Amino acid sequence: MTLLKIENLQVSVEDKPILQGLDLTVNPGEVHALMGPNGSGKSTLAHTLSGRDGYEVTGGRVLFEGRDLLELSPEERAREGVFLAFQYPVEIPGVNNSYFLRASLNALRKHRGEEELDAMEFLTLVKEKARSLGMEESFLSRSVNEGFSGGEKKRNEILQMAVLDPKLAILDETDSGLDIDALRTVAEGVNQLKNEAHSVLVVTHYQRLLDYLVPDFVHVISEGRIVRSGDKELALELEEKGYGWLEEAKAGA
Amino acid sequence: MSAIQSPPENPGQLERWVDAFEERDAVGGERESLRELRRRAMRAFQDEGFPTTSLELWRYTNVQSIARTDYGLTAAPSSLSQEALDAISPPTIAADAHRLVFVDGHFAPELSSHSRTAWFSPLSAAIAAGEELDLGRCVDPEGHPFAALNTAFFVDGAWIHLAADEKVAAPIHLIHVTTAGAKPRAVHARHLIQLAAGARATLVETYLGQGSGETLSTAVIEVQLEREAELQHVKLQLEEENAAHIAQGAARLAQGARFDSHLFSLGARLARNAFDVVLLGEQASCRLAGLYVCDGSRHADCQTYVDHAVPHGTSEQHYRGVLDGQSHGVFNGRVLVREDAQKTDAQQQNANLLLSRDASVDTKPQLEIYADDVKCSHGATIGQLDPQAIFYLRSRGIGEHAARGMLTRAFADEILDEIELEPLRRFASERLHSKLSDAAASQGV
Repeated sequence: MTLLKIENLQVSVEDKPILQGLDLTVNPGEVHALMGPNGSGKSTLAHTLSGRDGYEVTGGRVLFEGRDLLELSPEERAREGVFLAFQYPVEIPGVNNSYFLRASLNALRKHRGEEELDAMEFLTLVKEKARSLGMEESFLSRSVNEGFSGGEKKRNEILQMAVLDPKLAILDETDSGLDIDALRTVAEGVNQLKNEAHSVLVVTHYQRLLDYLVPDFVHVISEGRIVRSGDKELALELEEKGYGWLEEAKAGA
Repeated sequence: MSAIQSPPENPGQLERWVDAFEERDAVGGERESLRELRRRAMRAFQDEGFPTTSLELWRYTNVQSIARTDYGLTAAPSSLSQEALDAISPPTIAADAHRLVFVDGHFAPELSSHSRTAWFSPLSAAIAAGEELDLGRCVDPEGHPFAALNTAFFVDGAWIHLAADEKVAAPIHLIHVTTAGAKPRAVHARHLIQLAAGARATLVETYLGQGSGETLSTAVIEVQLEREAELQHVKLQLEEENAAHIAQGAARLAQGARFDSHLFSLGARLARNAFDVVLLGEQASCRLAGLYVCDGSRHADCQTYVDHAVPHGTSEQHYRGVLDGQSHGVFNGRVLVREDAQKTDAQQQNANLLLSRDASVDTKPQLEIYADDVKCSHGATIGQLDPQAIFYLRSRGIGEHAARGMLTRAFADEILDEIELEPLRRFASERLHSKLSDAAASQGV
């Protein structure tokens, strides 16, 4: 069964059309990379899928496991198995990272009719996840993202992703500004999900992250539409040629 | 703030109190010095009357509803059963805590769990025994109209006096219950806390109400700390909806003394908690922290005043407010650094979280500095929950209601986390978190 089906999606931000008829299908276990120049609509797609305010859907539809995703509140989407790794994770002073993540996991488990985890059970789980991603346990006792470096914030997103084990993870420019170690953490998190036949949509400007995780499909987005799709070779081609050819292709059309 | 003009003072409002006082005064049976203090207080009250919003210190707190109320001033105290107390009283702080219970301003030994100690006496017993009590030194009835009423009318309270180097390890817990009846009731709690040099204690005041009728509680606590004495103080103010609570506390600190106070103003329709600290000896230090949580149409006013009279003093103030519904919060914090008080370190901070459109807050942190070699800072903020943070939590599956609650608790916990003693922190945390979830439930998100 198709996990995510986006059909002719049109989204405006402050009355300005950004997505202008985007189609995308993601099946279980697939890793898709969505690439494109700044302003092409990559992040708008990520935000729209997560249910953020300010993104007005003016046409098309999004089905998640056959259900209308756009009808759901942000928390319902998360509980159904959609996860967005933020480009700019929010700092939340006073809320303990481990406490937050347990509340989050338990909200998902409750939704699935599973027993909630107590503090001890959760700690065992989260420590194991942190270890598998090569992350320090001290992360867990700090306030959510407060005073974290850019790289630490992104790693924290990946830790959350690993704990919540989403059916669909959307990584919004998670690779921007990361060093090699952090990039490996991100890739490791994605590969673990893929191994469990879960799907990932990586939104990125650069090909760099794709050295560490191999996408099944690469899509190029321009002016709110997917203009080309291919396999990982397409990412390498983009790396070589940049995005300039998009303009030329348009001029020639 | 509403611009309602206070009605002209109705002399009848004061007469009720004057008549009741004269009746009481005629009975006598107290030391002349105390009778004189009470008379002086009553004269001050008669001269000043109930404060109006034209006074700077009362600008944001309108007490006309108290002034108009016909309290049964000569009513006898109710008796309260252990079961009734357990039903409203928070769980005990620690198994070995000294619980001293007062019902309608009278000591209730049958509800109290203190073992006989040399350091505690009900004020009523001390007065009856003719003790010379140093009352009125920290809190002057003049200029403090409700403290004046308290001084004139109190019958009981706790007198806690520790000898030099005496250390009371278990918390001393003063529990005040004001019972509401058919007629509005006014009660007056009075405490005198004296720690001799090097003495150390932990004191908790809890104010509770029983019943839904109108009540007024005035509370005055006077704290005298001699050299190197240390007092940890927590106040939980938790009365019911139709209660008014007007408190004035004051502490005088000798050299090297330390006073650490945390206020949780969580109850009563109208609450005002004022605390003044005077640093009289070098190296004395104090921390005044407080949290006011208001929903519905509750009004909570916190007033502080720290007087740095000598060099090398340290004072920290950190107050936070959480305001929902149509509630109104007030913070008025003052720090005075006198000319001689060089090397003073005074910090003052007030932060407010508005959870609804109709809630409001007036905040006025003030520094008055006459010395030139000091480290002082102050600041106030008023804000709302961060929508980005709410979205972030929701995007992780946490419902909007729970997300708001989590962020609100995080804001309030900053004050809680400053309490160093773990059992005390846990005790306050239970009351605070139950209040916050009540407030959240009433939002109906």
